[in-house]
Amino acid sequence: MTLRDAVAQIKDGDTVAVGGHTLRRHPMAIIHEIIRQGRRNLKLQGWNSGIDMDMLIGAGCVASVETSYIGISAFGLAQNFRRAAEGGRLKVIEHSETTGIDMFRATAMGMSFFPTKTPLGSDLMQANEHLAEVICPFTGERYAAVKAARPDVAILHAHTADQYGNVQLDLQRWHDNSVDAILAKAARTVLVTVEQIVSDEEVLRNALLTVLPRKFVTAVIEAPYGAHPTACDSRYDYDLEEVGKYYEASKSGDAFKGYLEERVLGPADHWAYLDAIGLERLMALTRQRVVR
Amino acid sequence: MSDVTRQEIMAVAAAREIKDGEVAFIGTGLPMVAAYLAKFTHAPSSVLVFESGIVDARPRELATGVGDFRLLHGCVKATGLYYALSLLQGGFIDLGFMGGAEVDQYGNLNSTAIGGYARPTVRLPGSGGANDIGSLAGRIVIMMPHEKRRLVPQVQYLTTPGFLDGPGGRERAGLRGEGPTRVITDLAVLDFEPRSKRMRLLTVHPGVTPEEVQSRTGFPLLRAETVGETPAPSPEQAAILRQRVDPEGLYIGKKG
Amino acid sequence: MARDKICSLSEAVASVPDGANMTFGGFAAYFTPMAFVREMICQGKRDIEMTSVAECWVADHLAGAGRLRRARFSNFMFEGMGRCYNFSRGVERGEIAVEDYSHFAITSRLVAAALGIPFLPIKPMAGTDLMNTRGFEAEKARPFACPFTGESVLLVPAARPDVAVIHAARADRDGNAQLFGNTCVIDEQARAASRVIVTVEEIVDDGVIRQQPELTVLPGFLVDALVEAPFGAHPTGMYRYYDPDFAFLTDYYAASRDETAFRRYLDEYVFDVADHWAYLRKIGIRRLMALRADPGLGLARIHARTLS
Repeated sequence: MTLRDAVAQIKDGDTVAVGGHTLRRHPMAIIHEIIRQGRRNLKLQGWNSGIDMDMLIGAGCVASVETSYIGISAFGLAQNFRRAAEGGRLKVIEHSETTGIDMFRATAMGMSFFPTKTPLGSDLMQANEHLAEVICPFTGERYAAVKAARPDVAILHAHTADQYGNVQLDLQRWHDNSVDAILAKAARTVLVTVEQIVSDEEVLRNALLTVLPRKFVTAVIEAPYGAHPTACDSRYDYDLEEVGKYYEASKSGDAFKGYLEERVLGPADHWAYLDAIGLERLMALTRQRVVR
Repeated sequence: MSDVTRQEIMAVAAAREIKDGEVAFIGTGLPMVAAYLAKFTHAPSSVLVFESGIVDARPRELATGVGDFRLLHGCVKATGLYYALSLLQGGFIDLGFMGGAEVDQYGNLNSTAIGGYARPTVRLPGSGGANDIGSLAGRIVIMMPHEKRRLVPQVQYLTTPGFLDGPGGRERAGLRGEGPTRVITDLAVLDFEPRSKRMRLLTVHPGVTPEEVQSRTGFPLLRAETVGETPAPSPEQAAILRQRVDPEGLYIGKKG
Repeated sequence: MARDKICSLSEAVASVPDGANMTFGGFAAYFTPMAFVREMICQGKRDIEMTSVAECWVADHLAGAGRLRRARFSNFMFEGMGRCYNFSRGVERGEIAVEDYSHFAITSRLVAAALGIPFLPIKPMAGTDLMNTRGFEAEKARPFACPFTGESVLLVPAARPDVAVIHAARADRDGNAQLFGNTCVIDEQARAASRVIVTVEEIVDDGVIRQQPELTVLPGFLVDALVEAPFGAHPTGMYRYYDPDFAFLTDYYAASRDETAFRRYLDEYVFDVADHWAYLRKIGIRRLMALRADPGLGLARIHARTLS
């Protein structure tokens, strides 16, 4: 299946859970294709978001966001998000990082809510309709219940998968990355881009690294550098030059339109996007060519 | 069994030459097909060595070169060319396969030049490991198409030694091993008469006559007392060739 | 100092004089330093002498560009396709002088040099035209009787190329270079040559090298210049990194059979590209990524069938 076919399965108005966090392994190739295909009124869900959600918002694809954070890290605030939220064009459902993860955890475990203490006593309890106070039936303690999230689609970028859709993550930073699997298990349709589709032999050699067995995966598409300009763990660094370019362009709606034209709408597909970035830059970002 | 190709007959005849447990030096093309077939059937413990430094390849996939990564994956030892070739001089190689542009009645081969050396009419690839194998392996199997311009009275350039100038030739040159023991072509299987060291017809392939073989040979061939028929591949051998070894029919001339 | 070893591809090539006696790493369609060779042709290097085992892609490119004066070698052939037409034409026209060896003989000449001894005794080549028909070589091999046993051998003299150019997998900044898979002749070439230039897919931290010292083929003290050149072997392959680009090799072979077609190839892929990155841009990221080795197999999945 091509990326185009995979993204065609996302419909206007869908609730879409976006993998990755802290400018790492966001499914940027998928996001570019969503923008190319002109999706509207998407309800995005995540737990630590940045350029992934901000770009979709700036491209006019988003009705609401449900996450703990949308920002461009060391560069500053997410400007498209700001303009849309402050202009009343975007519904924002506020979480903490832990409740942002718990909403997916509940669904993945087949429950309608997940108990936590984190948001108690904060304004999150009032601001977020998906948080409610409950009393423990055994101890009488107060808890916050996080409503199970039910995304229609989860979009992820992972490291490897076999042709059947068994998705693996590299051992390095494995635990950091495990939330993506929880996110995926909460969704009905799961679209995963990977750095490389690998042999059965490779998956079997490291069976413990399989985070998403194929029964949880709808489609796997090979998209090298599919997280660019976000980082991909030990494989390649953040492209800070590109993130900086994005940040500058997102300061105004017009400048941002120019960025989208150049980087997203102009290139016909992910390969054209990569050719525009250039192999020289990608190789300079690449930390490890042979990952075993 | 439908249309057995001449190449399949050659591959099976060559595979027959590999005894289980032997260490064999292998090149690309039909010799590799034969080696894989041998390993999948009667010679599973045979060890395949390639001049690029790959030792004991476990064949899963037909390779197109002696340094092919498909040979590397699953091999036992990956080393250098000097190691692989010094196995020949050290006497560890039982069998080698050979081809060439020309062969003469003493099994000498030319893979260097046609029409002179310094200004040849055709400059050919050169020895590679052929001379080393011909000089040092326990025994040699030659494989080539049977054409008059290939089977010549005397090779224009002697790249690889068969029996050189005849009886005693190898010994005088200080070479080791028995020399060539079989020539397998698309018409026949031949050997070398022990005393004269001259090429001798052993079997003809199905549908081929000894006269046809001689007419396509540029020198008088000796004939075995009884010239038999080269065995065709068994159904099992054909199935292995067509489905496992060379399903694209690159060398056996038939798609699986 | 470590920093001094690292240089650009153009600087490394510029350091090679016209007429140099060169030996190149790789073998047939595998880890041949093609980025270096293309840059040589672009910089107008000429009258090159090759001391070679089977570096057919180097020989045919240099011959086709009219830069090869003579070669002592064992075998130039495009496996699975046919002979090297540019090289053959050059020899047939008397433009390229040749001296033929067997694999073992030419390698033994490099080994003798690597071992610092003036010759090595070998058995092959005896009795054949490799011994009896001479090319340009003043000294090739001499028959000799072993002083202990009287056994006949041939003595081959040490061969010391001016420059060895080797493409390896990775090296640290000191030039400690590693290779996955088989190593062909690079171990000996690096010790026989007076000067060693290494191009690598990636320059890595020394910790990476020292964690797997068994993969190190060239210790840094043998290496004079180090160049980072990702996909520097293309269109040949690099085990565990990328397969040979068989489609490109096939197109090249077809073009090499006709001089006009070959001229077009040289223009498109050598002369009209400003540098190695421009060459890779021409190939395109999609094609390069498709050649990537599978981490479990060491070769590209597109060339491998799945487990049967």
